[in-house]
Amino acid sequence: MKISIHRTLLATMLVLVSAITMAQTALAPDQNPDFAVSRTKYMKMADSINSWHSTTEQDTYKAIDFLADRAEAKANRREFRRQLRMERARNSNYSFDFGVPYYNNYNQWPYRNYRSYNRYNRYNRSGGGFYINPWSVGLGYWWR
Amino acid sequence: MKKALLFSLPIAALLVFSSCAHKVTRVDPSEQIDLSGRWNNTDSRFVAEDMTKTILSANWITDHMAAKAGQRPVVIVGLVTNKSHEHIEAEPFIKDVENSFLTSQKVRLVQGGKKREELRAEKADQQTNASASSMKKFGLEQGADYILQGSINSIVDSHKRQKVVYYQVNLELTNIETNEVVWIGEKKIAKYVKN
Repeated sequence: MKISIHRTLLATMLVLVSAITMAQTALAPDQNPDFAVSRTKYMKMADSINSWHSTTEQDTYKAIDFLADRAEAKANRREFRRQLRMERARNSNYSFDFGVPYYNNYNQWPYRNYRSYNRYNRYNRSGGGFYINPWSVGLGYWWR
Repeated sequence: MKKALLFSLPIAALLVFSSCAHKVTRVDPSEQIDLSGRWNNTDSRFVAEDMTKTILSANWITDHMAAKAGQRPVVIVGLVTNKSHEHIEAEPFIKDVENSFLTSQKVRLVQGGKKREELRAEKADQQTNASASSMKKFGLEQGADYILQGSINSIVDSHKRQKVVYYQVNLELTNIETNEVVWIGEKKIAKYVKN
């Protein structure tokens, strides 16, 4: 009696396992038999790819546009000047000789020409004095 | 003379400053207002109108219903790639297309992306917090038959203060099982901008 119950249970389990295996491997008409290769591959990346749904990927390019380029250059110049002002404010040692050769008395106000050995000193010319060409200033003002 | 000047000066100042004041007025969303020449709400509306009109009148719906014993197609919205020179968000016109699906009742929609993640997270939360009768089960989501994908392209031709911008918006509907493209919507917009 006990053996027959065991046999029946074993047979039922075998039938169930084979049915599940059959169901898994059963192909739809004209289905590629190697579909499981692709399925395994894409099951791994489905979550990350599907997060793109209902979104817009911004893959923009920069068009050749005279006015837009000019506006960008202007913005860059303004930003550069702002940075320059910030640096000057941080380093009060900067002085302005304006490139005028006959102001030799550099150590008197406002042409103090202290040497400032610091990392913001790369614009300096002639030993620490901050050089601004008046032509550049005029042109920059006109062009802004 | 001095007295007149004293009175007229504040009035003049008031007039000058009131004319420069910040002003906001409500306008009709369907009104065409072009300021910079860039992509704006009018372009988005044109695309939406064109796409909704063509997608619902195309044959793919009737073909699907004939093949699937009258069942309405289920659509999910996929990725839209903006390959133009401007930042363009596709959601405004995509939402109009989705809205047309639901109001026409010809097409069913399923949620995708982050919203779907949120739904699954809510479902997961219900498994331990909701009452047994109100808890929603996993594995009963509606699978989509078609995916709606798109792309936005542009061509810019400019010379000094003149510019011609051409936009092309494409939406494609593809059968998820067979990869067959069943519908392509196209909207072309060209603008001449003179500064």
